[in-house]
Amino acid sequence: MEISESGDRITTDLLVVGGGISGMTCAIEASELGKDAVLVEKEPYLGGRVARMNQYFPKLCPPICGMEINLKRLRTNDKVKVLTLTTVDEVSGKPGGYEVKLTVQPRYVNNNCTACEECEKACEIEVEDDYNYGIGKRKAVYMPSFAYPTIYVADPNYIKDPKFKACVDACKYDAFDLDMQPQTIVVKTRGIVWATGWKPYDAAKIENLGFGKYQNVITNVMMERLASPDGPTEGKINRPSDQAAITKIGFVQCAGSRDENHLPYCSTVCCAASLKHATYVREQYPDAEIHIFYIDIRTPGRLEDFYVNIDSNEKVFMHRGKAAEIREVPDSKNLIVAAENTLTGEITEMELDMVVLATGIVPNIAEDHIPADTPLDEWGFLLPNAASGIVGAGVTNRPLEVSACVQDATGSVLRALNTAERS
Amino acid sequence: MLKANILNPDLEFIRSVKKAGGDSLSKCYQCATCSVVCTLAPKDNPFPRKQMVMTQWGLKEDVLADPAIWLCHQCNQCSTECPRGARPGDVLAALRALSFQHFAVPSFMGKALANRAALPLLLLVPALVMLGILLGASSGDIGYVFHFFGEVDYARAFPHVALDVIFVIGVLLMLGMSSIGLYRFWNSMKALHPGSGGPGFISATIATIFEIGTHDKFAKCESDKKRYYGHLLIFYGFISALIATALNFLFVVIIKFLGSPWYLTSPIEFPNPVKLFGIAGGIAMIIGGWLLIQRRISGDDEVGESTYQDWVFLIVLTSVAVTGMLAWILRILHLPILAYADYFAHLVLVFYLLWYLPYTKFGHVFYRTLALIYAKSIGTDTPRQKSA
Repeated sequence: MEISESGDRITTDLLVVGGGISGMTCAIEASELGKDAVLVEKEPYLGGRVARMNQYFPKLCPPICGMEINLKRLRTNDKVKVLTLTTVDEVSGKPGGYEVKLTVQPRYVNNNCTACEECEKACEIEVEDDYNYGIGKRKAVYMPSFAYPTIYVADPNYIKDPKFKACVDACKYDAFDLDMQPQTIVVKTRGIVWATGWKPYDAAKIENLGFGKYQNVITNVMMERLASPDGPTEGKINRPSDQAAITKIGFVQCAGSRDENHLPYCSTVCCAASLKHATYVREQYPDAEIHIFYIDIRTPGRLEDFYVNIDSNEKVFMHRGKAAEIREVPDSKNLIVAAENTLTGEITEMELDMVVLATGIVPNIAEDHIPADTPLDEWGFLLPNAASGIVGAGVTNRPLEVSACVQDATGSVLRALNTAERS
Repeated sequence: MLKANILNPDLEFIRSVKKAGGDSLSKCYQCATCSVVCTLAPKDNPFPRKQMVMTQWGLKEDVLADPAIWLCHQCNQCSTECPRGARPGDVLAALRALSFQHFAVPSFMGKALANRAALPLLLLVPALVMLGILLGASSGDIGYVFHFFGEVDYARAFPHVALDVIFVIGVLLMLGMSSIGLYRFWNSMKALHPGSGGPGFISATIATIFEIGTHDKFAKCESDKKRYYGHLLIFYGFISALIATALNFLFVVIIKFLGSPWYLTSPIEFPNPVKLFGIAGGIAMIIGGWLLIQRRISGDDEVGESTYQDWVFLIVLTSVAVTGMLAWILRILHLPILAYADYFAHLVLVFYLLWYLPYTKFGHVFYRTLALIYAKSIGTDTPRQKSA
């Protein structure tokens, strides 16, 4: 890899866009094949959606397992250049010879930072926490789990806030640099892998399910944050309105999925995810009732055992029929979930403490378009395209669970390098 | 011992449902969103999810005898919220349309009235009848009809006696045929969808009449008020026009025949209450009909599929009102040729409406009423309360 003296021109074999599990895998696999790779990530941390999970299914190990290994492989690897807080502005050229313009956003914290936390403690500005899907607040200077590099980052919207001075003053290492400017970097690369992943479908659009209207209706990704030890509740699952313990919880499968009014496709992971959430709840509340409303439970392959195992728990109840109506009981803020039980032919109206919507996967490129001429399918996933030569990896291609993303990414690297080689 | 339940799918039935406006049927994957969003479905016996699968399985007898298909008033909320575009509301409408063919006798009439190719023939019959009356009454000399200006005397061209004979026969035949169809429908409902626990037949009938009178279920449809007003206007407009016609028959024919001095001479003129009933009914039907036609033209999602049977019924009904009102206006304006032509069309359309009633969408007045009575009598028509 050639990097110009000022750092604004890089020549490499492979550019990987997206620093989640798929992108990290791509960059590492390429480097282990002896190729140079630049890994670009928009956020100040690596690991993407996976970093924000509590556990993987079906083995129920924390993401730190796989992530730590990958981070170590990256840190000890001189063939991969990682750029966080970086986005792709322009892609020109063709397979074998692209020129890509990147913008690196300022972190406002330099490498003097020792992650001592003093600035964060001193900070009085609290902002909406996107990392936790809006649960709780974070400070205007913060360090996400899996921050890369492992230093603090300042929220650009607040550095001019008079209260921000307290953070700067608290730093003993002169690590703040509020004059940092966005930097443009031009990368010459032979191949491009796009692995910008996904975001959860906006549950507020599913009007009949009351998300955003009723406090105790949350989504599956929020459940991950509630259950995560590094999450806003330090892993304690309580219901949002009053932090009460859970006695009866519901999971609504296909919330906005397989639905032509929302996402027409099956996101493939939400069934196993809800079953996994059932284990989170069961661990903390051995007696809580867990009700799962489903159209079909889709747990192919080895996941079938996972399903059978959880279904065998005597306080896990499966209801065959889509939950199509949620209303709030005004005083208790409990929720009434209505679904037709298609096995008995009667409508069940169940009162629950809390409801989790199993929302689906939306590919990020459906809205944040790739700045190149390369086609997407009708749902916004990337199609293979020989002319553009841009190869997708992971959820950019189709909805996948984590281990399948890793496998997909490995294949994508080979395809991208192959495309570059043959051009 | 295991009891075998053998399903005998009627594939022809599935095809006919698809042809009658339920072409989205096979998209249904039984998620049951429809049963939950429905504002009329009862909690313990909801529709239309079950009716969708019964139809997909070709269980013709079961599904056509299910009173639930008549509890639906097609607000189509199920169709707009259906995740698959299976449009249960349209499928249920198709099932209702097929009910006339299935239960009505003779069944070839049901098929003919559902077939647009038969329309010219079905109109030709009353046209020839009316032409025959005209020629007979005028002894072949119908020159008086062909004047642009002058007196109009409908009774001269189409004498009351002849019309009364035709329409009294029509009413009796229609009621007779309808009764046979309804008797078969009732027995099917009782055999295939038995139940108990309702308030019984008398209370159910009273409740049904009250519900139809108030259009309570139409009012529950939130997405589309136009339909509620349109149907309400047509409903009361038609009753009003029917009352006017009956009173006309009573005072002009019966009372005169009985030799009472209370008889009236045709034409009954404004502002006689009989005439007022007729005019009010006509206007209400025209406005209501226009609202419903407009709605169907809009083709909005909640309107659903408009089939041949929907259109022909709506247009004939509205046209009866339009030609009826015009008959009065053209007579007052002394425009014989236009007046007689219009009156002729009016009579043909009334014949169509009346004689063919058991086989057209008009039959819903009987089928829906009976299904509502049955469902109420066995306690399966209590819409689920949706407030917390």
